[in-house]
Amino acid sequence: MSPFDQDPSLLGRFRLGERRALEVVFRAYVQDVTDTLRLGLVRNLGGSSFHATWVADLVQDTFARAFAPSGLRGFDGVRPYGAYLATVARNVLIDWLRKRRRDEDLAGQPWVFVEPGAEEGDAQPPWDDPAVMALVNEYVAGLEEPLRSVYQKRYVDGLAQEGTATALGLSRQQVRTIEERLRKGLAGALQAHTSDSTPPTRLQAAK
Amino acid sequence: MSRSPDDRELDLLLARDKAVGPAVDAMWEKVSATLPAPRRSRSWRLPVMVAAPALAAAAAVLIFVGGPPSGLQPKGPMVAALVDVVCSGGSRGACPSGSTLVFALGGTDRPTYLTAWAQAEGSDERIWYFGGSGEALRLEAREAVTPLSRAIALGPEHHPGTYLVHWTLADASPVSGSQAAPLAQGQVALTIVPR
Repeated sequence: MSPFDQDPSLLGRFRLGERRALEVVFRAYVQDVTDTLRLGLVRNLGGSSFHATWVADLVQDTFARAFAPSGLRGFDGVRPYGAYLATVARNVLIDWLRKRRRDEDLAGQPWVFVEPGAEEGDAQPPWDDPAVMALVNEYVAGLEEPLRSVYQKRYVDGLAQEGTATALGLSRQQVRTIEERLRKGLAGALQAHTSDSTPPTRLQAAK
Repeated sequence: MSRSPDDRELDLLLARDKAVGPAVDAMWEKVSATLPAPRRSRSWRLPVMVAAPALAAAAAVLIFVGGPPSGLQPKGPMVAALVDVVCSGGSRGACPSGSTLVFALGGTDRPTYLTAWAQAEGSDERIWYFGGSGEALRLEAREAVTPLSRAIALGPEHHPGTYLVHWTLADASPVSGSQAAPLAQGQVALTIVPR
C-alpha cells in the first residue's frame, strides 16, 4: 500500500517539502527505485560489470531530483508516486549512461537505451559477485550475539538505530559500535579469502 | 582482492539485496543534504512586489503586514505571514471530494489565532474550518512554513464547485460578537471535483 494511502495528510506535507514527510516517502520507495536502477544497469551494460555503489549513487540522484522543488511540483498527486519515481530514475540512469559514454569517448557510436522495466524471463540480477555473496552469507550465518540480533534488526528488518536500540535494550552508541564490529568482521572475512581475485563489490551483470 | 572495501560497500554487502540499514540511512542523509534549507522568516520580509511572482509559482499566498492598510495599526514587530493551502488528493484547481486540505503557515513572529472558512461561489454560507462557532486555532510563532497538525477532510458539505477559502490571522481569538483586528488575511480559490 502506498504511504499516501496510509496517511491522508502525508501528500500535503510531502508537497510542501516537509523533511519528515520526504523521509517517509524515501524509505517507502527506496527498495523499488534500487531494484529498477539495478535492473536498468544490468540491461544497459550488458556483459560489463559494475559496483553496487553505482546503484546507491543513482538512487541518491533519483531522490534528490524527485525531492527538489521542481520535482515536487512535477508530481500531480493523481498518478501513483512509484510510477513517477520510476520515470525520474529512468532519466537519471540515461543521463548517467550518456556521461559514461562521453567519458569513454563512445559518443559517436549508436546507442539505444534499454528500458529497465522487467520483461518475461528477466531474473532479478545478482546483488554482487556470487562468490563474494557466498562469503557474506557464510559470515552472517556465523554471527553470534549481540551481533546477530543487531544484524537482524538493522540489515534485515530495516529498523533505524534508535528502534534497534529500543528493541534490543541497547544504547544507540552500542548499536553503532556493533555495526562497526559487523563491518570489520566482514572486511576481515573478505580479506582472508585472498584467493578471490574479484573486487569484493563488483557485480557481474549477467543476463 | 584488489583493495579493501570501505564502510559504505560493507554496509551494502551486509544488506545483500535489500535497501535497508546504515547504507540507506547514509543515502537519506545525502539526499537530505541536497534539499533546500527550510525557509526562514527573513526571506518573507521582502517587498511584496519582489516576492509575489516566486510565491505565486509555489501556489502560496503572502500577506505582508508591515506597512498596514489604513485602519490597521502595527502591533509590535512586523509580521510577514505565509499561508499555503494544499489539496492532498489533487490540486487546488481540481480537488476531489473526500480529499484533505492541509494548511501550512510560517513567517509569524508571535502567537497567532487562525480563522478559516470556505464559501462556495455565489453563496453566503460559510463552511468553517477554524473558528466560527468554535475557537480559532492558536498557533505559536513559527519562522519556517510548516503544515498544521490539523487537516480538513472535505466531507459531503462540500459540493463540487468553486470555492474561496478565506483565512485570517489575529493576535487574539475572536469572541462572540466581536472580531479581533486581523494581522493578516487572504483567500485562495479551490475547485472541488467529483471523486
